[in-house]
Order: sequence, then structure tokens, then C-alpha cells
Amino acid sequence: MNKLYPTQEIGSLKKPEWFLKIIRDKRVSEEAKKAARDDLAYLNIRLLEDCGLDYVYDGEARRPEMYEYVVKNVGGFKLAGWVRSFDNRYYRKARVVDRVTYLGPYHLDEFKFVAQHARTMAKIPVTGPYTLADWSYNEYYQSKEDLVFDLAKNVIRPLLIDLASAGAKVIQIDEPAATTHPKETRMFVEAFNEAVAGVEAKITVHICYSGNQYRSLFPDALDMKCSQFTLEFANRDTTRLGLDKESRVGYQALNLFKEYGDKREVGVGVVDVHVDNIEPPELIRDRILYAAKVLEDPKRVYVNPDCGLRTRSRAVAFAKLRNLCLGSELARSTNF
Amino acid sequence: MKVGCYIGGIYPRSEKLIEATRRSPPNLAEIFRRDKKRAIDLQVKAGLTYVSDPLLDWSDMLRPYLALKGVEQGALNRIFEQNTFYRMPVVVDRVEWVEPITLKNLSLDLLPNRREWKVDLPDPYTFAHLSDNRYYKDHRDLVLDLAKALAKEAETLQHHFKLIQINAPSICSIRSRDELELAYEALKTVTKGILAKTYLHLYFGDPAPILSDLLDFPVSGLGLDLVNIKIPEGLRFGKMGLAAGCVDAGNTKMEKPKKVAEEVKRVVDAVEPSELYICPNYDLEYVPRAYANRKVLRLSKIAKLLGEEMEG
Repeated sequence: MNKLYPTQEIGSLKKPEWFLKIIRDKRVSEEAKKAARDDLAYLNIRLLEDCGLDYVYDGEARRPEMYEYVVKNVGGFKLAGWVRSFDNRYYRKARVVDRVTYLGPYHLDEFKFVAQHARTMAKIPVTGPYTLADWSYNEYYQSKEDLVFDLAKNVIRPLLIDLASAGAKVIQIDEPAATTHPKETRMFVEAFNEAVAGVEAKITVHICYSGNQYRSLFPDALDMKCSQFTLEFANRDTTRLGLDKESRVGYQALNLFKEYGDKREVGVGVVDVHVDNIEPPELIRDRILYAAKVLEDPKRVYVNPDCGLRTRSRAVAFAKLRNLCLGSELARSTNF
Repeated sequence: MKVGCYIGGIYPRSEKLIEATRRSPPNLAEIFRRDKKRAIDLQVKAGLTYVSDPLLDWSDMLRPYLALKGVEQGALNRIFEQNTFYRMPVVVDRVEWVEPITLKNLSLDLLPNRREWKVDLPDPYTFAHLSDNRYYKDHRDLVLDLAKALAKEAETLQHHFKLIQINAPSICSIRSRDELELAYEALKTVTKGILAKTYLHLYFGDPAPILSDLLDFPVSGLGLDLVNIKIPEGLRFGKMGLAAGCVDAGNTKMEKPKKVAEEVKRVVDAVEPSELYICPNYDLEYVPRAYANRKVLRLSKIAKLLGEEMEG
């Protein structure tokens, strides 16, 4: 994209109450539920475009969650039950009880819908092989490595190829677990490369909440076959305006790219998805300009929230995204 | 040798309770108590040597201790390499004990009178390691003040509980002599004069390189994650007991009691501990409730098999 500081969403948006009521109601027909999913997907696309984003998706309207949706649509998994994420927040975890198998392009219909209705570029999020393995109980494979590579080669790669064949130009591989086990970074990188081998699309990777500020990714990440790292920073930053190191303390991990000579694009998280406070455009501008300064090239900077906005109310999420786009405009009008 | 068994840490909530916490009905506290009662009944049914509060209402193992003076609640942070997060304690002033915390956060009235009880307590070194220290210039002072505060807790617990499980995952990664001595000193403050047995549980890391030093620590026994680590050859436990963490709290796959009992027997023959308990390697909250329940029954079976063999 020729435009400086292109803007993008990461993936998920909160599902509205009216939608959940329909989906959870056993009396509602499958046809009516499908219509509700289409309505919400359409609404999300329009709202994201109205915010001014350059890359959009459907807010993951059809996916209950980035992990559960996948394991329900891939052979070899069985849902085990609920496990705590934090406090009273739980997620459903699955067991791997058989060889994992690709049962079909589980994101294809939603992608086609987005491609048909989006006026801007569609960027589809796909949960990556390492995260799927790390978040599951392995009861079948001899090792975690065997599971990760089988997922990469025989599930995620065929899915990516099917999506690219259907016209997906930009695919974001979500790998939030990538930095959970620093000793497994090499496994993560090699599995990632297996998954994207032969896929004709722009590949980006989203990694978040590492706990070690991405340090464990390098130097292995240099070998990753992707053109953009989409990362979170805003949650660690101050809310002061300024382009100095102290004000932009949350963005110090960007120096890793300089330290290791990695010249690829970085999708820079400029709004915190875990607080309701709406970041003003001027603060977002300064975060973008600081990232451009550290990366020494404004063309490498893409602008996004830290992560999906599903934990915020829709009003807060869209207010943050509107300011994200306004802040990007301010940054564009500032001489680098 | 007598073989006992127990579980520690936070137990998983039932699906019904998880659902209730989303709706927050007016009787939520009662739903918590009913779920706790079921988890305690299972421990009794399984014949665990010590019965414990399943801590279903604890959001993480440090959360109640944010009530210590000088400590505040911080941001979410990953629990070691788990996909579960805790609120990081932020130390903003000198840490001081004001009133009993652990007892206030337990449901003692649900524990059966006819059984012996156990309880969990964080290790001061681990507490400091998992905190954001914004007050103390010297990390050592923080560890030792936390030790004093947790010693007060241990004092209040010793008359109710026969065994105190001290959770010390951060000690596993200590590799320097100074830090090891600091962890020792802190622990000595906590366990000094305590009537209950004290077991130091080590998990989420590999303590093997420092295990010979840990055998001199001021506790009754060590709890080790035998699923993921190997005890170095040649070590003898002597007066130290062993809590063998041989039931995997990180996987739903069910243990085969006979096979596990044989493996534990080999370890016991090699290290010769003064006593033996069979345990999960860490909190069972990392598997869903139905699997945790089955694992509790399995660990009881493993203890029984070993008991039959070792008690003659």
C-alpha cells in the first residue's frame, strides 16, 4: 500500500446482545442464525470502514473464539472443558485424541462474504499451528513438536492455500502463544514456515502479551517467512505526549528490529484493548511517529490496536478505532 | 514406610459455577460453597490423607495476599509458561502483616472434622519474584519483610492444619549462592517453631541443579514435579520427606496407576525419603473439573498400590 501509516484491525469485536440472544436460542432455526451472522458480519465491515480503516475483516462475527472455532472444525480434537484464563474468564480447551486432519476450508465462507462486501482490503486472521498445539492437551502425539508440525503441514497450510486461491491477498497468522515457552521459539518459527510454504499471499503474524516483550523471538524470528509483525505495545506505554524514550517506554521492544537488522514492516499497537480509556489522536500520532523514528523508515509502520477488541464494549472499540485513524492522519501530516 | 496423598493449590471450578460467575446471581456465594463442598467430598471419598479447601474463590494463589499492607493489585501477568494469568502484586510501601489473611479466605466450616487438614501458603522468595517492587531499594529487604508477614500467617494456620504446603516455583530457577541463601533465610523465618509439617513444592521449572542444597532447607519435605523433571542420581533425602508430583495437572491424559506406582517406587528406592506423599505436580486447575476429579481418584489409587507394597 502506497499510503503512509496504513491502518488495520486485528480481528475480533465484541458480539452484541441481540446477536447472542439469537445464536443461543434453541428455538431459532439454523437459517435465521445464519442470517444473523451475515447481518453482524456486514455491520462490522461497514462500521470498521466508517472508522477509516484501510484493512478490515468482519470482527470474527462467525467465530465464538479464535481457538474453539478452529478445534471444532479440525479432525482429531475433542473439547475437554473450561480452563481459567484469568479471574472469572475461562476458555474451552480441547484434547488431541487422534491424528489432526483438515476437514475443509473452515474460514472460506466467511472470507468470501467479507471479500464480497468490503470496499477496502480484506485481511483474514487465521489461528496458527503453534498456538493451536500449545493451547491443547496432547494425548495422541509422541511429542508437542510432532503435533505442531502435523498441524502446520496438514491443516493450516491447506487452509491458507484454499484461502489464497479464493482471493485472500493478506493473511494474518495469529500466534499469541509464540513467546510462551522461550525454549520452543525455534519450533514455533519452523512450524510457521511450514504452514506458509507455497502460499501466494502477503503473510503477517500477530503475537501478543508475551511477558518478555518479544525478546525471546529473536534471533529465530529473522528466519520467519512473513512480511509483517503485528505486535502490542500501547498497554505498556505512558499516556504522555512526546517522542522521547521515557514517554514512549512501551515501544522499546521495537529496538529489537534495529538490533537484529530486521527491515520488515511492523504493525504497531497504538491503543490498549484492556482499558476503556479512549486514547486521543495526538497520543496515537506520537506513538506512530516514535515507531517510525526507531524503525528509521515510516513506510515500515502499519497502525493497529494492540490486539482484538472483543473485551471492550462496541462503543469503546469503535471510538478507539476512529481515533486510531485520526491519529494516523495527524502522523501523515507531520514531517518525518 | 507409610504412603499418604494430598492435592494442593487451586482446584478447577465446575461448569455450573463458571456459568454462574458470568450471570452473578444473588446466591452466587452459596453456589461457590456448594461447589467447594462437592470438591471436598471427593477428597474424602478418595481417601486423601489431608483434606484441603479447594480455593475455588481464589482468582490466583497470590490474590488474597494483596491485603498485606504495602501491596496493591497490578496488571495481568502470565503464570510462568501457562496460558493463565495472575494479577501482579505491586509493592508500593513497606510490607507489613496486619491481620490473618489465609484463614479469612478459607471455608473451614466445610472441612470435615474427622479428617486432618492441609493448607497452601506462598513462599516469600516466590512472592517477591512475582511482584513488581516499586518501594524497596534492595530486593533482599522485600523478600525478608514478606517472610515476616508470611510467618505470621503460618502461626495462625499451624493450630488448624497438620500440613502447610509452601508453593515455591520461583526457587526452581535459582542458580546463584546468594539467592539460594536468601530463599533459605526467608523460609526459615516462615517455618521456625511451626507445629505443622511444612512441604516446599517446586514446579514450573527444574530444581535439579540445586536439589542437593534444597535438601538442607528448613522444611519437612520437598514436593517435586516428577512428570517433568528427573532427580539427579546419588541424592539421598535422609530426614526429608518427598511429595511425589506424579499425576500430571498439565494434561487430561489419565495416568495408569500401576505404571506410575512402579516409577515412583524406583525414585523412592533411589532417594530414600523419610516419608512419601503422592500428589499432582501442581494445581489441578489447569485441567477441566471432570478430569481433575478423575485424577484425584487415580492419585489415591497410586498411593494405595504403593502403600500395599511399601507398608508390607
